[in-house]
Amino acid sequence: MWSSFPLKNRLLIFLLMLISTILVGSLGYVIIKTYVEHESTSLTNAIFFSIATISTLGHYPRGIELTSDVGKWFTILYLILGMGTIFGGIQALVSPWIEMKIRNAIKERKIPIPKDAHVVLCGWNDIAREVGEYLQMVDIPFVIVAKDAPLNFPGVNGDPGDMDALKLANVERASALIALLDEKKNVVITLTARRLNREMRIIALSEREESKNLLIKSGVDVVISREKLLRSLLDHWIKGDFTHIFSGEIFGDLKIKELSVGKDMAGKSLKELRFRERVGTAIGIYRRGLLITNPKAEEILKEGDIVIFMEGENHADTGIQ
Amino acid sequence: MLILGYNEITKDFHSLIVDKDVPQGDHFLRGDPTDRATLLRAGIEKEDTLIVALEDDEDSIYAVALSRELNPKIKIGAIVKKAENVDKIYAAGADYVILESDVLSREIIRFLLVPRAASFFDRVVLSDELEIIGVDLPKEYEGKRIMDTDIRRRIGTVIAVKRKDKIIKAPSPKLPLQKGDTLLFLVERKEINKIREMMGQWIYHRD
Repeated sequence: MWSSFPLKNRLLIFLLMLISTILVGSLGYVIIKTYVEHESTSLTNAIFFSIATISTLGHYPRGIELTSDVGKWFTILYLILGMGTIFGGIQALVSPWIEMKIRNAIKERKIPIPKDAHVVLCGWNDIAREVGEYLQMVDIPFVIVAKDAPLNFPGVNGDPGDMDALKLANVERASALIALLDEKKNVVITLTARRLNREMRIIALSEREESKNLLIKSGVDVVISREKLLRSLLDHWIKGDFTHIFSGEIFGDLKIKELSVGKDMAGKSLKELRFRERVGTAIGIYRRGLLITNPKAEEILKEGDIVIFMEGENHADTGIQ
Repeated sequence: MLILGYNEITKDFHSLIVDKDVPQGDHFLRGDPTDRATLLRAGIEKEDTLIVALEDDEDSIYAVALSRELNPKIKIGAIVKKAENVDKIYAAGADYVILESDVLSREIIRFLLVPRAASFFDRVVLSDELEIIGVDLPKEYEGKRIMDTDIRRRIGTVIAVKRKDKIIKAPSPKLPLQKGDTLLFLVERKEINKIREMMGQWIYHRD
């Protein structure tokens, strides 16, 4: 019953019970002292008797204790009642706190936090959940840093803008960090994380396009602008163009991939490599920062090229990076 | 076009925007976008397209249902925040629904796993540098396989074939083309005119 009340209410109830216990004791004391033992007494004596009894002090100064049989029985009963109030009350106040401590201790040990080459997700919301589920599916280690990090993923409970929380998440050796809170928070997260790790890729969400520069100056590598992305999707839908049909496909599944050309493929043409049959339909090549669209079948690949391709229906899950 | 909800996403669309809190101006209408009288005042019965992007998903669902009742023919696009509301808002009568967290999480995953492909998409979706165009299949190619035509040399790689309501992505070069097919290409904007000259009336920008 106790634990169903919030802590503040529990404290209040405890104080009320304590006061009424003292009142009952004091009243009983005055009645017995006056009408049974026919002695005069004071309010101070009555309260002293009550508190000395329920606190199990074990000794009453001369003139305070009840000497009649009725008085002794009252003292016994009152002692039991008072102990109940004190011990029950303290337990109710302290136990939820202890339980929380124990639960947190178990929680942090349940799923280990990845040590290196992992992704750090800052903030817990619908986007973080979807990214987390996807990373879990493709076996990429990650950790969530948030004030309310969930139990079913590796997590650190804390403010992702805090150096300590980020250190617990092993940011120093992470390969990427994703900041999913508001712009202000994302700037603080980035500035903090950059002091711990210069190399990793930082991707940050931004509500407005205008915050992009500030985020990049803070050390973000990729800014994803919510406003711009959603707006352009609506735009394509309104225009009813082919991009819209395709953006549906693009956002529907991850069929467009990239492949970086190594020594084994360099110097050969797409045709020679049978790229179409073995990998997919090449739709673009990044070569030293330039984009070649619609590469010809005779196009000869160079080392370091990045080929953007669409996977056909027949060969799933080949050649991611 | 009519827009319900004034926010970062909709504020630059140059159409009438309805919301409780809008700035002064010609293309703004102050009022409750989930109220029948407000929608009628905004002229919903005469509009052909409606965008619903309200702060609260429940308001959006209700506004879609109400708009569908007031104008059965209108095209409705909507943005929702919670995944469970996608089905509900389609059921309320929306034609196109964007789930915010879905779009954003996919974009993040792409930049995480395939950054070059991701920036490639952005050139297509966010800027007009690259465009996807549709070309109706010229008569002379009907019944031929893609590999037996000069399409790839003349225009580029066929990234998809639209056949009736189906889209065949990354078609095999051995795919026989049929009458009524639309071929989709990804081209740089500056090349479009060149292709138009070559293909004449077959080029389409629109669906």
